Parts: sequence; C-alpha cells; structure tokens
Amino acid sequence: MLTNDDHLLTRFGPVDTVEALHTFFFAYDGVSQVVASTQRLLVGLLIASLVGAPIGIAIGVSRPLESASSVLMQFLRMISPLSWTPIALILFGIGDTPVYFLVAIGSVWPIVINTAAGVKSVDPRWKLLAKSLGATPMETLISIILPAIQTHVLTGIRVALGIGWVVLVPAEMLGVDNGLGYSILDARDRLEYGEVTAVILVIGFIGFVMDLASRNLLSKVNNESLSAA
Amino acid sequence: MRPESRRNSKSSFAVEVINMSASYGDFQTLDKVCFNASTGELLCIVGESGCGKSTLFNVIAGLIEPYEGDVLSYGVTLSKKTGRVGYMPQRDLLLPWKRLISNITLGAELAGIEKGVAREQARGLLPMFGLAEFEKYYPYQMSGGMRQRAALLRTILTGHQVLLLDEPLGSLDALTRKRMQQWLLKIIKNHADRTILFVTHDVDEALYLADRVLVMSSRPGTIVYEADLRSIPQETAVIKRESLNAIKRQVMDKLGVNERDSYFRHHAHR
Ligand SMILES: Nc1ncnc2c1ncn2[C@@H]1O[C@H](COP(=O)(O)OP(=O)(O)OP(=O)(O)O)[C@@H](O)[C@H]1O
Ligand SMILES: [Mg+2]
Repeated sequence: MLTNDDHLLTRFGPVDTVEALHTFFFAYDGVSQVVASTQRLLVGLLIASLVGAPIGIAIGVSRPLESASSVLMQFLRMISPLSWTPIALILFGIGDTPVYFLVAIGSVWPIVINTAAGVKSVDPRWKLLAKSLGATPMETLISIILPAIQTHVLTGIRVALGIGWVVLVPAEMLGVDNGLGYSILDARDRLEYGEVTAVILVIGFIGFVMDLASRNLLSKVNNESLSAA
Repeated sequence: MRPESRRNSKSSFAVEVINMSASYGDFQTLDKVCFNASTGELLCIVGESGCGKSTLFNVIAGLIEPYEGDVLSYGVTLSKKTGRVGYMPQRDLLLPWKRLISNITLGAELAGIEKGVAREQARGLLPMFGLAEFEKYYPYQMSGGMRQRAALLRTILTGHQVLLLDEPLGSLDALTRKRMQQWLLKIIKNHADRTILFVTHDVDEALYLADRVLVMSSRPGTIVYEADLRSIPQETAVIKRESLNAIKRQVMDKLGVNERDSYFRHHAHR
C-alpha cells in the first residue's frame, strides 16, 4: 500500500508534468479545452453582471430595499455555489447551461455588493447639482450615478472573475465533455496523473493571468476617469 | 419658452422671497426671509458661516421646500420645481469623469439638447472665460480658478434668467480673487438682462460687485439690513468713499463685527 502510494506520488512530479503538459496541449487539444472553459467563464460572468449590477443599483438607491435584502443577501452569499448543483441539474439538465448558472450564482454577489456600495458612495452634491439642473431621477441615474460607480462595478467584476474561475472547474466535472475541469477527470480516468498536475498548473496560470490583466485594466480605467479623487 | 420669461402681470420681480422659512427637520435655518430682486439686478448676500445662505439658494433652486412663505419668479412659484434657475453651488462641483466641454454642457445634456449644438454654443464663450485651449481637460488637470470659471460658465449656459452664485470666488487666493472680481463685473455687464444673487462672506467683495447688499443674521437666518449702493452720492470721490465706508460700517455692525475689527479687516483687504 505504502509503496504503491509513493509510486503514485512520483507520477505527479515535475518531469512527468512537463511531458504531460506537452501531451495535454498536443494530444488532447489543450487549447480548445482552455477556450471552452474561458468561454463558459465569460458567459457566466456576463450573466452575473447583467443580473448583479441592476440589483446592486436598486439596492443602492432604495433604502427600504437595502434593509429588506441585506439579511437575504448575506444568507445566500454564504452558500457554496456548488451546493446549487442538484438544483442546477434539475432546472437546466446537463450541458453548458448548469455550468453558466453555477458560475453566475457564485460570482454575482461581489458585483451586487460593490455596485450597491458604489451607488451609496456617490457624492450627494453631484446628485443635487443634477437635480438643480432639472434632472429627473432617471436622468440623474444615467448622467451621474452610472458613470460615478463605474470603478466600483469593475472592481466587483474583477472579484467575481476570481470566484467564477474557482467555481468553474468543479462545475465542469459534471455533465460537460470538454473544458479544464473535464480534462482533470478525464486524465484521472485514464490514470494519467501527470496530466492532472499539468491541467492544475494551466488552471492556476490562466487564473493568475486573468487577474493580472483585469487589475491592470481597472487601474487604467481608474487613472483615466477618477484621477481627481 | 422658459417659464420664468412668461411675465405675469401680478409681479415683475425676477425673484421675490416672501416671508419664507425653512428647516432641516426640527432645525430651523431660515426665518421669514423677505426680499426681492428686479430684472438685471445683482444682489450680494453676506452673512456669517452657517447662517443659512446656501439653504436660501437651495430653496430658490427648488431643492428644499420651505415650510412657510413662498419664492416667486415673475409671479410663478419656484419652490418644488427644479431646473428653473441657474445655480452655481458652493464649491465648483465639476464631475471628475467629464472633460471641461461636457462638464459645462451638462445642463444642455440633461435638457436633451443635441450635443453638437450645445457644444458649439459653449465653445463661443470659452475664450471669454479664459478656457479656450482647455476644452479637453479633466477637472483634476485644471487650477482652482479655472474650475470656478468653468462652473460659472456651466451656470450661465443653462440660459436661465435668474442666476444663483454661491461663493463663486470662495476658494481663491486674494490676488486671483481680486482679478476674478474685475473679470466677473465684465461678464455680468455682458449679461445685463440676467438677475444675479451672489453669496459671499467678503464684505468688500459685496460692496465692489453689488447693486444692493443684503445682510443675513445668524441662524435662523433672516435679512436684517439692506443697502442700495446705486443710491450713493457720486458728486466727488471723497463723498463717494465716505458714503461707501458708512455703508460698510453698517454692514459690519449688523454682522456683529465691531469697529476696531473692521478697521483692521479694512486695511488687510487693501
Ligand atoms: N443637509 C443638511 N441637513 C441638516 N442641516 C443642514 C444641512 N445643510 C445645512 N445644514 C445646517 O443649516 C445651517 C445653515 O447651513 P448653510 O449651508 O445654509 O449655511 P451657509 O450660510 O451657507 O454657511 P457657509 O457660509 O459656511 O457656506 C447650518 O447650521 C448647517 O449646519
Ligand atoms: Mg454656504
């Protein structure tokens, strides 16, 4: 037993891994696995943003809504996104849709929370200024609040990106037949443990690069629009 | 056609504040404020910090509802309605994410006026405001004086007949301020049809710019003194200066600043 385990562990070692990376990318079309995963992540994030930002704005502008939703939000936020898996499968069957759902429900909270916080931190004098110029509440929303919360929303999306990526891999272990999560299971089933390590490295690397890129993008947007602060 | 240009036979005052009182919750800020301004007049309102000058402007701009009395413009009530007067709030309040040109055309943007038209009109006024080369600047790239000129231009570009300027030269150093006062007088002469209410805590500035000076008491604010500077005898320079000094002493007195203080203040400002 012990010798067996030792033997197994050596198969996760660095030399095998480099070889396995090669195998993963050339024999198992690693690039299209990466593309499939990234695409699922982006769809999930898009859904999370389209749902999360408006909810965040509504919570930010309406005090009653804020107090009504805060307990519910904290409650939902604490549920691991993967706990939704059975419900996702019942609702959406197998395929890409439940994966989108799991990514979205995991990553929607930072977007909601950041957007709401952004709306609440808008300088009230800007809103008064718009009002004094005759703006309706809707015009104030469009001309003042939306541009003012831009960085808050983007920060929320950046946090959501990290969570979405983490949720994506286990979500891809059910009911889909490509992507990085699937590749891990597939390699395990073929007893190619070196390849498991290789895919893990790829996952970490891509997550790291995406976070770095979004961080840079965010600070660029910040510099451009809000240097006055 | 703007509502305030619809002359009402009942009243020809551009601004008419009638026994108006306002509060923030239980906190009374204005007590039976009463004054009026005719078309083309420039009124300076002076009063100590916290006496309710900005609150008065917020009421006239329709942002706060008075609990008593009313504010009219040519017989039409201004309370509860926004977008009827040009309001330059205390501090410039330019939006940091907008370039100068879109900041000054914010009023037009909100009024749904076509961007190109609004900008064309705004560009025509940029040189006079010393902003001609800076239309692409963000507020953080502009000096304090530029920002205040931009905020003033934004207010003028609303096209409203009544302008409320809350300490438009507030955060400027003494030198720039002096220059801006002279410049402001020129601007005002170019817009002689506009009626201007101007808040300042600088009595000399008020005496220099105003047609009439109104003194507000400390909170709850009300108008305790009014001086018409156009009625000053102009026969000789000495008479003129003496009458101006007499008015200034009156104003200082109403503000609760004693003679000795005002002597020093007077000289500090020259
Ligand atoms: N939004 C508000 N809620 C409650 N109280 C307020 C509010 N705004 C102003 N006040 C209070 O009302 C009083 C009058 O304020 P206001 O801003 O009108 O004074 P001001 O004369 O403009 O002073 P300053 O010269 O310092 O600008 C002050 O005591 C202030 O604390
Ligand atoms: Mg004030």
